[in-house]
Amino acid sequence: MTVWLAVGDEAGNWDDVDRDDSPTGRRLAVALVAAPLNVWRDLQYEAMGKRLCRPLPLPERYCRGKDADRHHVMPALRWLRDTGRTGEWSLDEPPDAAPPPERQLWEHLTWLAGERRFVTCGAWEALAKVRVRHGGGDAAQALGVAYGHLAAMLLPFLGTDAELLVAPGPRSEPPASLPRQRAAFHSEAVVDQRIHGDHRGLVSRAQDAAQAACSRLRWDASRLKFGTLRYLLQSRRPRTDYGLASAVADLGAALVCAAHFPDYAVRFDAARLAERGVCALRFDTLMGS
Amino acid sequence: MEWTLSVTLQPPQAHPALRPARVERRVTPPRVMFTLARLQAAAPAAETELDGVLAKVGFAVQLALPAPSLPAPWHSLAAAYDSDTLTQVRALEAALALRLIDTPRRSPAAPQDAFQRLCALQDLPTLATEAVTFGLLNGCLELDLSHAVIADWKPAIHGSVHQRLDSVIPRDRGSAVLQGIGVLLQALDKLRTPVGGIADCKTLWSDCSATLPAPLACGLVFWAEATYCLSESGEHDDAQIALENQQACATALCTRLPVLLPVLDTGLWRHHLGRLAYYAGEFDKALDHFASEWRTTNSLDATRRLRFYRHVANVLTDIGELPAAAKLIEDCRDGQREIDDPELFKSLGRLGEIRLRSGEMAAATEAFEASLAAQAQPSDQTTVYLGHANLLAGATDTAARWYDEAERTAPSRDNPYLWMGRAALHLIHRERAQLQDLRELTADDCAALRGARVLPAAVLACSYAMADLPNTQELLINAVERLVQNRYLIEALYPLAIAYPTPSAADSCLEPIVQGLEKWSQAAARFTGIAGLPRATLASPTPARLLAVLAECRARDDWEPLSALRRQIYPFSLLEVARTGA
Repeated sequence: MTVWLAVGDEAGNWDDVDRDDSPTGRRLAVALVAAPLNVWRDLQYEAMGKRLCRPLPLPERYCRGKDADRHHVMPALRWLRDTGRTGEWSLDEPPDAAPPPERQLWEHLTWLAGERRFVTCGAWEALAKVRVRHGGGDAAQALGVAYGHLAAMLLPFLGTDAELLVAPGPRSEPPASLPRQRAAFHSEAVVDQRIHGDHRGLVSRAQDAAQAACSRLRWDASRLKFGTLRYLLQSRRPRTDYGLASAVADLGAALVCAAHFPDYAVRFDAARLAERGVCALRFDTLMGS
Repeated sequence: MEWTLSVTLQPPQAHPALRPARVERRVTPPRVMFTLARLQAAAPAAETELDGVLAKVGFAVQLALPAPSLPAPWHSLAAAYDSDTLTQVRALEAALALRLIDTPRRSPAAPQDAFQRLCALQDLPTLATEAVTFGLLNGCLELDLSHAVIADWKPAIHGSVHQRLDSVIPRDRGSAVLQGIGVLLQALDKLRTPVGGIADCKTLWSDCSATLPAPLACGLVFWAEATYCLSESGEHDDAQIALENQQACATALCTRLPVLLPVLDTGLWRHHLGRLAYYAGEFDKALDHFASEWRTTNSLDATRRLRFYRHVANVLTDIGELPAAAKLIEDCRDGQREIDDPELFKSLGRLGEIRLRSGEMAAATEAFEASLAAQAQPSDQTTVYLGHANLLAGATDTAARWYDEAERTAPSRDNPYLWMGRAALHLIHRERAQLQDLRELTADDCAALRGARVLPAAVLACSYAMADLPNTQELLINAVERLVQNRYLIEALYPLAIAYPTPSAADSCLEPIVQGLEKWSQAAARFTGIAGLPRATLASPTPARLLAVLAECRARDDWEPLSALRRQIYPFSLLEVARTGA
């Protein structure tokens, strides 16, 4: 039996799902990057794996807080905007005269796009639709449904003996958000800072959505498990580097955005990306709305 | 039939780490269509033995499955049925349509098991040929009517086999099966010319059957038509032989194709069992047989369903269940007018008789006149009925004119039904001498009358007795015996009460009458209950009412309790006009 691990990440401001006043033209995305467990483990010993365990060489002011010690695409995008180096990227050739952060970001993204051992698939949609048709104003629920459908979609193609462990990207929430209210963590004293989101609710929703989808296809969903990386891999040896897994998932979400977000700092040709094997569907297509 | 089919699902993206997945989907295919092999748009990717067998007789199967339907999130991915499964389902749907195999008990079913059963059939070429032929003749195969050749054959077969019209056989025979059906349709035309008797039918069958690729299916139709034609012309003994031949074909067909049995039981393919039982006076058997066919009449085409109604109405009329008979024949008439059925005139004639027996002479006259107008060649029989209706209404001059017209229509034909009307007129006008002349003129002919014609002979005998002509006692007793032998149990009561002074004197004749009436009474109750039809009133001479009255007669040893009902028994009611007026 082959055990696969799919790690997820989101892109775009999912907090806006809960806000009526945010511009509805914005887009949201979610992605899963999947590979057999042994591939994840091997990656941490490979050159690219080691690079992805380090942050990109950005100026210091872009590497504060949690971004200081991990690989994260978002600060690089901010830097590209600030330096006026946004635009179309080729999958084959690096940007002209690219400074090291830009060059490395390109290398990392094109590595994942062309990496035959990893499967990247995602979904994207306009905020208005996500809010109205797929989430009910609750980001955790909307993400859960999306992760559930993505994972279910992949499962049949991994082989009849495959087990798929799915770790949706953990997210923080504004204190007054709907997920937080639903989760009712009233004991939290801090009211102004972002706090842990309703991950349990997200995971539960993802599991439900995936099982329902597999049931409609009459496919055995018992080999599909959702949870945090720590929970899913706690008894499996040798250990997998959770930070590396998150960095790869972050790259996967960035690829989806680069293909389908017109305002993204860097853009790849969606068709060329699909030829490389990166799949990105609209939410409506994924859910069958 | 719902099948579980294998579908190969392609991954959302081409990726070396992702493999196509095989999933099972439940599919209910559309009805399979049959077409001529040479008209098939494209040959299927793979053929089964059944395809080869059908191709040899010129036919092919078309089945277009809809694209696999998948739920989200896979619905937008490329998917295709496994080709082996597709081939099997196509063959299985064709085999089910042809009744080569039975519907799998479990639904949805995996095609593999049913396909093995299909492959295990012995002598598939013969079975398939008979099945295709029967399907075409029965009108139950879905045909690709987009091609003119097929579109021409469907109405040609229906028109000849079920509507019993003169055949219009398309020039393009298209296939060996259609070639054989063309030969069959020509033979049906010859049967309707009309044919002389059973010997002629056998010769005709022997001539045409040698070249038929499906002799059992064609024999089923040929002998059904022979039974129909022979019974219509009064040759009931020959009709019985033809029916036995038809049933032999049905039995042989069901031995080879057991799945066909329920179709043969429901498509009026055994209908003549009821019709000939009616002609033999076995009304209980006729009604019980029709009751078993009643539940499936809604699945029949209008032609067959409406004629079924008329055949049932015939029996109900003769046993006095007139409201039920009227309901059926009115539905039949209305429906046959809509489809322009060539046998509408028969239904109008039956409606006229029902109205006549119900005492509604104006309505009876109207129906008989409509029947006459609907006949391609006016028959003397309908003209005689118009005479009877007018006689019963008291319009004796008009009746006489209709009887004259009947003689002009068929001057050389001996018509005992016409003699019956003449006798009634003589009785009304107290023309004893003319009645004696009629007796002498027709004596030999009446003595020779058989089958249904014993009835007018009995009416004549009663007219002579009522006119006090000499030597009528033996004539009456003979008439009663012949009526009872030919199962005219209700009608026999009229001369019985004249021939025998008391019920006890007629006991040997009464006993078989009572036994028969009991069977008829029970069968009538069963049938009208199943069909939801209205029952006759207590004032009508139905078997149930007559049984009650006869019991009273026997108890009192007096015919008086029977007198009111006796006067209504048709056609003896014609004689009652002389006694009581219209």
